[in-house]
Amino acid sequence: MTQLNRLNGGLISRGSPLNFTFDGKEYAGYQGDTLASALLANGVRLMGRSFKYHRPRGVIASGSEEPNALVELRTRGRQEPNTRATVTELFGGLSARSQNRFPSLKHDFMAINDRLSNFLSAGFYYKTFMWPAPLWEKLYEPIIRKAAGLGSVSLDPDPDTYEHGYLHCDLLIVGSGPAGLAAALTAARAGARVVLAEEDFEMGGRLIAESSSFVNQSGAEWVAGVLEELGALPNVRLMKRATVHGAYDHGTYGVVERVADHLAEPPAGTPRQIHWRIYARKAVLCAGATERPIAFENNDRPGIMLAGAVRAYVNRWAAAPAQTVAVFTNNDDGHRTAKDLLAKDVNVSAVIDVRHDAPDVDGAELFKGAQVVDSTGKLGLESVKLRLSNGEIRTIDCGALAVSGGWNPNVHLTCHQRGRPIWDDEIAAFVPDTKLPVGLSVAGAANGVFSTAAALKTGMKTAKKALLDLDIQAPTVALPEAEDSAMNLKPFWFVKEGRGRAWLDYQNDVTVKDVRLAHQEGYKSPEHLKRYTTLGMATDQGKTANVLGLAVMSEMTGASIPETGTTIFRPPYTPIALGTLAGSTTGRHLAPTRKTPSHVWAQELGAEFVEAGNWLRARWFKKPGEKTWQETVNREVTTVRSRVGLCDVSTLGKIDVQGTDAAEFLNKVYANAFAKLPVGKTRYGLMLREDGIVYDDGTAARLAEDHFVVTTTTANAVLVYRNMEFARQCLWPELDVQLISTTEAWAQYAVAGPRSRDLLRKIVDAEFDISNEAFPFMACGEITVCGGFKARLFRISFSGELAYEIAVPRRYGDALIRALMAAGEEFGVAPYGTEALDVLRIEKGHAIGNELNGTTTALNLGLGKMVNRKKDCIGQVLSTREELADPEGLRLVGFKPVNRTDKIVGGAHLMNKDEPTDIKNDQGYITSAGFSATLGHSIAIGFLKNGSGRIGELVRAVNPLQESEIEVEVVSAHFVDPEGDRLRA
Amino acid sequence: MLDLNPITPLGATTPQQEQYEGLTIGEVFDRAMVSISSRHGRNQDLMSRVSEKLDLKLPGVSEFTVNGDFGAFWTASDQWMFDAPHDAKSCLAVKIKEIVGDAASVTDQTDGWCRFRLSGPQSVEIFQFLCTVDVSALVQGQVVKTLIEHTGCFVLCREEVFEYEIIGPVSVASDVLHALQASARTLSSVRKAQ
Repeated sequence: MTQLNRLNGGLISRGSPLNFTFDGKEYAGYQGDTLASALLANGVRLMGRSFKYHRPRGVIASGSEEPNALVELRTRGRQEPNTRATVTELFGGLSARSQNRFPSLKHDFMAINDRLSNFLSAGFYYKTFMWPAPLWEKLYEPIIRKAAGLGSVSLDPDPDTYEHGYLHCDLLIVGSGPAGLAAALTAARAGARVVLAEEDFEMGGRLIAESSSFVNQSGAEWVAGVLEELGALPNVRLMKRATVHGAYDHGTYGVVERVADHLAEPPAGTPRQIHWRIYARKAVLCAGATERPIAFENNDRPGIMLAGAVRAYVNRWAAAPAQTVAVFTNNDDGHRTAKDLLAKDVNVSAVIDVRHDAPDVDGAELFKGAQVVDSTGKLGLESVKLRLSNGEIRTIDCGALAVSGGWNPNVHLTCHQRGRPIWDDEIAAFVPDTKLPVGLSVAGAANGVFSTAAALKTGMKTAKKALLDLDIQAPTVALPEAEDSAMNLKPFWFVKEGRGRAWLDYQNDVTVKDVRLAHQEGYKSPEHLKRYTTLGMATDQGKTANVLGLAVMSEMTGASIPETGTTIFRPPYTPIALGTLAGSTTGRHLAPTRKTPSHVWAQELGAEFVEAGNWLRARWFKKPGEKTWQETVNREVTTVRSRVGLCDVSTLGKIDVQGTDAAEFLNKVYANAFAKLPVGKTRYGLMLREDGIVYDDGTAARLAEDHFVVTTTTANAVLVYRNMEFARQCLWPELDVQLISTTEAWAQYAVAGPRSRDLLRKIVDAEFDISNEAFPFMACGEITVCGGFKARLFRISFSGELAYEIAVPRRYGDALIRALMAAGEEFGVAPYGTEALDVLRIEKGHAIGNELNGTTTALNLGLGKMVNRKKDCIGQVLSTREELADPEGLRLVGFKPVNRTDKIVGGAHLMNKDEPTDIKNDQGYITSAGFSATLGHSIAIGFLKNGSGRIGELVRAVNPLQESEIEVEVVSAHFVDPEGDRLRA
Repeated sequence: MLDLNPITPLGATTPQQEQYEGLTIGEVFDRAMVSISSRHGRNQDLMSRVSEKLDLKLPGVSEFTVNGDFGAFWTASDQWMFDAPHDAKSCLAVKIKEIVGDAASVTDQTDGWCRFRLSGPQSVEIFQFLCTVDVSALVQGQVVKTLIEHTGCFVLCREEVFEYEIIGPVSVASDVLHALQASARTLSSVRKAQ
């Protein structure tokens, strides 16, 4: 494998050869190569097809601004489309493929689009596919989607991991060119905490791409020395392969570090990429500048490249873009390219300079005042056609053309908080606005300062000033003697000659003609131009195209470029993989998993778990021989109704309410009265929103005159606590009340069923009398269990049976549930899960979230009398609104199927028997339904208009989604023990 | 007489201990905690009682103070968390209530939290993958509240070189530990990759 365009020198490791494939063909490169440099060294110029016209395309740039050389990397789950070959670090075994072509890169059927270009101009979508409208979704869009786009994804899961990280520093330096390194040296020697982020895999920026940055040493030598010093300092963090993609509020910067993209696959345990959030007290943007091309007819052939990129390939990567190269420039930088090529013995067939006063060139023919007007070559450049200053046409053979139209400062990060770049006539480019993100300053080429000497100096000065603002005195750093030449640019944007297409935005196939068309059709504002033509909207965000587009528009309008305007840049600076944004917050780690105190025990019993909020709760405890979950739940329900059952209810919110005004406070946050609740008693309570809707229910147990324990539903634990804190701090700050959440601290179990007292007597220490007389329904108290362990006992019942809730410090929860199970064996105890809990409460007509659904009032729930009108409380006034107080409104009632074998479905809507099924006749809806093991048939509760006045009536429960309906009888919501005798037993 | 054997927040009988290069992660399970909120207008009263009986100055914002085995850190306005060695048969909350009387509300928090101690030279670095706190800027006796693995946690700087504690909600102890383990592995692997 001969690398026919490989030159001598460069910064590649020739001792580390690497093999890779491109479109299945094997090539060789070296450690230190990019995919683009290695392909060029191997004589490969054709790397892709353009987005719209499927034109043959090759590499243009040498960095992240590359619009053309987009490839697909790797395979299967690691397949990554639209990756720039210019920033793809070569590794052994790399598999890369071109995209957007069929069947091959050389022979692409869709290249027919190029012949149809007259029909595919800007805005053709909008004009062509307007009618007939129904065809858009069914025909046009699928076809366009198939034809458009570039690479493809494999749809296999990504096997790699991603991580998020957070860093803090005094000074963040973005970019490690001359300005960045000078700033880093200055800050590092001052002892400041420095982060230096470089998107390349080598530090140095243009210093490692140029041949003559310094007078007495090479750029690479100086960079190596600086890095050695910085690397040894504990206050400096050097981050290469790290792209600062955005400047966010308060000095926060987003950075993507590609930890393992340069490896075939990440080593075990190593994330592929890390998304860093860097909190910087100050930041200096030293992101350099991006060269811009000059547009001319057929300027997109493989081999036509930016002149600075050609220098980078030649100097850094020792790769010539072709055996013979021509240069087309409007400034002295182009001459530098010619010089470097000649120094590497590459044939320079011509230097075409639009300036009539261009400096002389040694070793190549110079055409002053000339322009390139066209190019030839089917799959790669073969020649360029010149219009000389005397009007003569000349054809020059070349395999590559190095084009330099000047440089645009990389102002992107300065725009991320609405900063609008301002025009600088001197360099014919936009420079950063003076209104920058807080703490950010700009140095070097990013600020329009292009010589190495000036970049070094401004880097140091800017860092010193930034540090001074932090009261850090930085020393003056001795900087090396560096080149300090002017660019001598003559603004020249596009060649006006020719009737063919001249490309501005290579990635989106936007040409000079498209901009002219936009102008012709009235889309003159840069924002309209962008959206009409898609100029600057591709993955490269128009880094090489935007200013050219504006220049063409400016030509059309007759206004100057700054008068024409500019678009600003948004984050991210370069594309970010979605996996990187997600980090490790995926799958089961998307949210925390809260485990109950009995989790280990429940697992041992083989419980099936269900997510309730972030909690994992046991859903049921299947026993051997039980074939269906319904069978298990029926058994658990029957156990509670006939013997005794245990259920972990630790997930209910628990709020410790203390203070001399605790009772008065609760009186205000609950709809019903709490002021006179005696010590040792618990009361059920409703909490209303300000608008009178019920949002939570629970209990409050009074443990002392100044001490209550409030319980909430599992789902609303945080909301209730937050609302109570708001009430405490903002509504009634004069009250002496203190709140603490204790949800986590206690293991709490429901002990429910006729034998619950018998069971508890074996657990509760003997000195505590829990007889019905001493500890009646709704009693509460602090007790001890199992020989002195502190506990709390509440005689409350969700199931409607004789029941208690017993709580111990969480650490003893596992032991207590095991002790309860052992003690209850003689009474036939069984654990029950949330499904049985649900059936039990439906049988009793108790509301949960299904009924407290954000639309229902206490009156709807049949609890209207609980809203105490004699006291002030949250929501009381608005609950009396006419519509909410409608006596004929929805009421919570029960339902039984007329045909007892029918199943009532939750969510079914209720219709009168003889009326049509429509919204107009809607009578209400089923909120909760289940199979009652106690009654032996399906039951439900729900809201029915004037429900309490319609007991005994038959209505239809319709389920249009499943096209079913059944007849149901309206009954009391209390299916079991409506008088409450059992729970008071 | 029955007995109740405690389990740790991670569901084991003994605290978890893990060793990484330059880092030890140790679950702390022998501390009792109570929260103390001063009653209205009783701050001074509370301070003097705590100072007199416990020889402890109530810490200011983001601070914790230690006196022998006894410690306290600030959690919110007029609110502190006290911690002391755990005693299964003696309730810290009761003891504290006896000291502060009606000057403060006292709530037992012992079992509401899990706690992990990080020690070793890498105990600072690991935080870069855990939370947004600039841990290297913390000095001994500072405490901050932050999010770790989606969860509100306290980070205490016990010794600048190098001992920190993370106190998080007990129900998510496994997730907090997972975050610590994953961060320790990431730190180690990234260092090797660099």
